[in-house]
Formats: sequence, structure tokens, C-alpha cells
Amino acid sequence: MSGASPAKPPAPRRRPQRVEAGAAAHASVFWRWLAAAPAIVALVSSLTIAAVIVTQSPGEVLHWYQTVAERAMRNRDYQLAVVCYQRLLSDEPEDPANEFGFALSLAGVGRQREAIELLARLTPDQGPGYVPARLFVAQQLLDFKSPTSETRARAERNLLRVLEIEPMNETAHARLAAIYAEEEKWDLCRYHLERCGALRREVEGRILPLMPPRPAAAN
Amino acid sequence: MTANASPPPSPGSARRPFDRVAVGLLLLVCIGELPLLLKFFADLWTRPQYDFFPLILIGASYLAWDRLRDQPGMEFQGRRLLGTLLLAAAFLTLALGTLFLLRWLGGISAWIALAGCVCWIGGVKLLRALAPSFVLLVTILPPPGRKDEAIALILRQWAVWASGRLLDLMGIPHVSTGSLINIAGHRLGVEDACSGLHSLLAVVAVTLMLGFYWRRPAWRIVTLMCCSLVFVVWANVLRISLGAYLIETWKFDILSGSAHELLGLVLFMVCIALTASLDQFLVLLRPERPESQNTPAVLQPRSSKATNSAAGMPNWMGWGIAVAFILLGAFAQVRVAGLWASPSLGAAAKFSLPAAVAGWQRVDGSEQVIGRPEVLGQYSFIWTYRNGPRSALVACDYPFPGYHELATCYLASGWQPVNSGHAGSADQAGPAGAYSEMEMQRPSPAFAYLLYGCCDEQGRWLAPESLETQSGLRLALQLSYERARAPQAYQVQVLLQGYKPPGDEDKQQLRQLFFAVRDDFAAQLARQAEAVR
Repeated sequence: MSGASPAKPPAPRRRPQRVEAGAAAHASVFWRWLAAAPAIVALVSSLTIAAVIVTQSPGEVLHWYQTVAERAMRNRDYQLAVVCYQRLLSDEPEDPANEFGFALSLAGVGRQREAIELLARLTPDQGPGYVPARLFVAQQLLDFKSPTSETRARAERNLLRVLEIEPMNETAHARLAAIYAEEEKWDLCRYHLERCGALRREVEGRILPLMPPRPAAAN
Repeated sequence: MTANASPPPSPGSARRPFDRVAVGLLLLVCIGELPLLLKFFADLWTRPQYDFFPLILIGASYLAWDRLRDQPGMEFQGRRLLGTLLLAAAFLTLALGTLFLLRWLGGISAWIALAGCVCWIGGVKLLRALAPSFVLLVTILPPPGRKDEAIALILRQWAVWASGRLLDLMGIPHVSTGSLINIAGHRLGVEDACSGLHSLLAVVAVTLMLGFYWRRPAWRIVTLMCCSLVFVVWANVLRISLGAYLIETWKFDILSGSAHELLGLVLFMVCIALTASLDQFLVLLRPERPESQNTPAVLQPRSSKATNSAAGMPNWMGWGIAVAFILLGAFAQVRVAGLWASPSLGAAAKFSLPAAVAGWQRVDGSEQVIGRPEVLGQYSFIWTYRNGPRSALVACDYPFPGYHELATCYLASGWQPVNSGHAGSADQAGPAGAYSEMEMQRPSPAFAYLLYGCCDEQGRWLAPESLETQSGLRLALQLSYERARAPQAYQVQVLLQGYKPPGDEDKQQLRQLFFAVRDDFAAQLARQAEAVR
């Protein structure tokens, strides 16, 4: 202190460290560390989680979503499948497989209208579209209880589109053969059966069941 | 300067009491500040992220009292020149705020005026002694141009992103779009509250307050504030992730209703506790020096030169300032009295729409009434209408302080605009009233067609702020001016969603629904608002 002066103003009260003033004299180092522990844990865990999050591989995450989505479809857990396919779509919007899976899962949860809209996007009148979607749509049209000539024509258009992209697609040939058999266009039916190899003995058992029962008039 | 280094005071410098005349004059200055300051506080009260401001006012007052209590030898000798300069700056700020209807300038002006008053009464040393209170008060001054909302948007997007990655880590399949997180069978909306903005400002302010109260050095207070930001953001990310986990696993929802509010409060307390804990950690890392090093500086008696210069300011200057502030306050009161109107309708309002309208059928049981105390547009009524294969959402949301640009909300939800436009006439009721339309797309893939409009309590349809020709400061000023004068707005929207782009017929059908619904809504609104008035 500087020299005492009789006119010195009153000294300020010294209360600089409120927490320590009370606690420091008595608290042991152990208790101080204990008090500091939550902050240390929080900071360390924040940094760890941040590091793990940042180093996550996007490819692995997407692969995991693909696996979960396929499993969900198998287990008929369509709500989960919807979320997984939506995620896959948001990360890989160009992949039509994800869109197709999303459409199927939407149909699974009863959102038929949206599923039909999505499938319509995947099976455009112009352009190639997505082969599995075209096959699926064709099969759905043919599976109608009483398919009309219009539904058969739509199915045929889809299958012909498939053959433009994949000329040797066995399923498309077989289904076309089925359509032509139904319409008694036997030349076309035979052509497609030959193309899919149905007339070969080794695959006969696999393809022929796809054919409709022969009409009575043909017997 | 510390106590040890104090020069001996001059024999004649006995403690002087407050200059009571100065205090009286400065009270008049404060009265001049009041009209815009009250509007400023009313604005703060409507912003959820600033609703802690009364606590800060109390805290700042306590800190000021606490610091004054520690200075028994202090002399109240004002620096009137500096005080006058600060008061002049406050006057100018207040005048600008009144002229351009900027409430936040009212807050800033009051802050500067307070500093000027302190300087006038007690000089720079009193100002320095009260600096913690002034720093604390800065936390309730929002950034201009509602920049805090832009920060909220960034925080919300970050919170959604980080929560999404954390959910991936936890093995919970989900998809995030904008500020929404979808998990199997549930949709979680991440509002501002979950983004952490609300608690962020409060936690930072309380950290500052505690730092000043504990008299921590500046570096430690800054460290505590930075770490408290980390705690708040992570706490909210964990809240979202934990909420999603609990819904997915146990079907237990903590992200809505009172559980959400309670959890927010708990997280706030946890963040404060963690900050206090961190303070202990910092004490362990770098212990405080012996007490004498931290003793606050004794306020020295002013030198005779300074005292003379302060006394040299004529008294008429004080009266002049006081009169100027009173006159400006009166002008401000006249100018801002009826502005920034509050809405007539609240939670008690009821809206209903017919079962069949413009060829559309309302889906039974589709009506939802939503109250969200934490967001703009607190109340919503939502219905679903069907017309053949089409399904449309109809929603009425209110209240908004002026025209609400709904497009920004959809952009925040991950939609991208494909086409947009405005039609109709502003400030007209009925079918000719203004409305907006927008076609949107998002990568899910989904398409949407949106029609929306905002009306005032008389049922007149408002147009968006037409400020395309303005830019920079001029735009900001005109925007604030228009917002201050704008009536409370009530919004109607009609949304058609699908996985193919809407055709012309879809749009036509939706327009018919929109026009029918909005006229009905406007009529109900005008009736109810009239009844309340």
C-alpha cells in the first residue's frame, strides 16, 4: 500500500471472487474436480460425437438404408420402407430404383394414388423409363380380374418398351407371348416364346406356366 | 489502477453527493425516450427468443447496485462534455428511430442515453464501474433488420442436419427435409425452440450475468460464453435425437405439448449448470491470483483540472437537452402511438369451412387446430378436401405482423420454387383481392401447387411488400416503415401435392377452391374481429 494519508477515502470492500471466497477456503481439490466433471464430460462427449458425425461415410450410410429398406419390404413394414426410400431418394434422386422402391412402399401403406403417380413417372409414354417399373406395371395390368383390351394394350406398350431397352428380357417376352396368346395372335406368340427360349425343353417348365390357358376354340 | 497505487487524494476532495438537478434533468431525458422504448419492449415481448429481457433488466440493475456498493469512496463528478455528446448521439438515434419507425433504435437510443446520463452524473469512472450492466444490456438489443431470424434459420438447419447424422449413428432410419424430420409413421417439426435459438440468447445472457457477478476476468467470461453456445446447440441436437428415438422405440412424444416446454426449461437449467461447472474447471486450470490482484480499482477523486472542466459546462445546456428530449418524446408518442397494432383474434377464434365447396368435399375428421406459442403465426386451422383423385390441404394461420411471405416457410421445408407469381389488387376485399401462387418441387420427388393470401382484420387482401426496385439501406428502411404501418395479417393457403406436376385442370380446380375458401374465411374473420373490437 502507498503511504497512509489522513484524508484517504474509504477503501472499497474486497469481494472479488464470490464463489471462491466462500468455497475456496474449505473446498478440497477433489470437490472442485467433482464440480468441474460435468463440463469436462459434456465437452469431451460433444467433441467426440462431432468427430464421429463428421467422419461418417455417406456411402456406408446409404448402403445401410438400402439394406434396411429391402428388409422392411420383405417384412411388409411399409412405413419404415417409405422413410428409407425417401432418404435414399433425397441422397440419390437420380436413381430410379429408389423411386420404384418408394412407389412400392407407398402402395404398401395405402397411398395408392401417389404410388400410381410415381409409377407413371417411371413408365412414361415417351422415353425408355425404368425396366422393373414397366414390368411391374405390365404385370399389374395383366393381373386385373377382367383385363380389357385397353389394359392389355397398355401392358403391351410397356413390355415393348422394355424390349427396346433389353431385347433379350425373358420376362417381357414371356408376358408378351401371354398377351398375344390371349388375343390369338399365334405368330407373335410363337415369336416371343422363341425369343425367351420357352420352346427350349430346359426352360419350358419355367415359362409355360406364365401362358394363359388355351382358349377352347383353339383346341 | 489498483488500491496499492492510489495517489493521495487532494485535501479538498471530500465525497460529493449526487447533483440532484442533473438527476432531475436526466429523468426528463428518460421520459423523452419512453414512447419508442415502450414499443421496443413490446416488440421484444413478442419475440420468443427475447422473452427473458425482464430478467436481464433486473440483473443489470442488481449488478449496477452491486458495483456501486463496492465503491464507497466514489465521487459523483460528471463529465458533462462526454455526457452531452452521448446524449446528443442518443437524441439523434431516437430521432431516426421515430422518423423511420424503427423500434430497435429506441432500445439503442435508450442504452446510449443511459450511458450519457451515467457519464453526466458520475463521469467515465462511474461509467466504467457500471460497464458490466451496460454489456449485459447489449444482450437484449436485437440485431437490425431481424437478422436474428436469419440466424435462427441457420441454427435450425444445422440442428436438423446434426440430429440427422446423430440418428444415423443411433440406427434410426429417418429423412430430413428442411426443418422436418420424418421417422417411420411420425413427422417431427424442428421449430426455432428446438434449434436452440430461444435458449441460446438466454443462456449467453445468464452466463454473462454470472461471469460479472462472480467477477471473472474477461477472457474467462468470453470462454464461458463460447462454451455455453456449444452446450446449447448440442443440448438441442440431443433433444431432437432423443425425441425421435423415444417416439420410434417407445411411442413416447417429448417433442410436442407441455413435455416439450418442460424439456426446454430443463435443458436451459442444464446448460447453465454446465457453464457453472466449466467455470470451476477454468478455475482449476488457471487459479485466480491472490485477492489483491483482483480487487476492483478504487475510483479516484477527479483531478482539479477535470473537475473544473466538468463544472465549466453551463446549466442551461442540461435544460436544453432535457427540453429537446421531451419534445422529441412528445413527437414520438404522436407518431408511433397507433402503430405496430396487436391482433384482435387469438386462441379463442373459431373458423369453420363448409363440407362441400367449389366441387371439393371436406374429408370428415380432417380438421386440426394447432396452437404454437413459440412461432410466428401461432394458430392454425387445417382441413383436407378431396375432388376425385385430387387431395388438397386448406389452412388458415394467424396472426402475422403484416404480410407474411409463405414461400420462405416452404423453402425452409426443402421445397424449391419452379414458378411463382402474384395477382389481384392490394387492399381490396372480395374476389379481386391480392393473392400469390407458387409451383414447387423437391427431390423426394414431389410437386406442389400453392395458392396463398393474407388479409387484414377488415377482410382486405394484402399485397407483398413491393420493394424490388429498392436495395440496401433504402430497402431496409422502407421495409421497416411498411411493417410498422401494416395491420395484423391472417393467412389462407391451399396446397395440392403429388408426384407429377399439376396440370392446368388441377390448377383451375385448386383456384376455385382457394377463392371460395378465402372469401369465406375473410368474412368470418371480419365478423369475429368486429365483435372483439
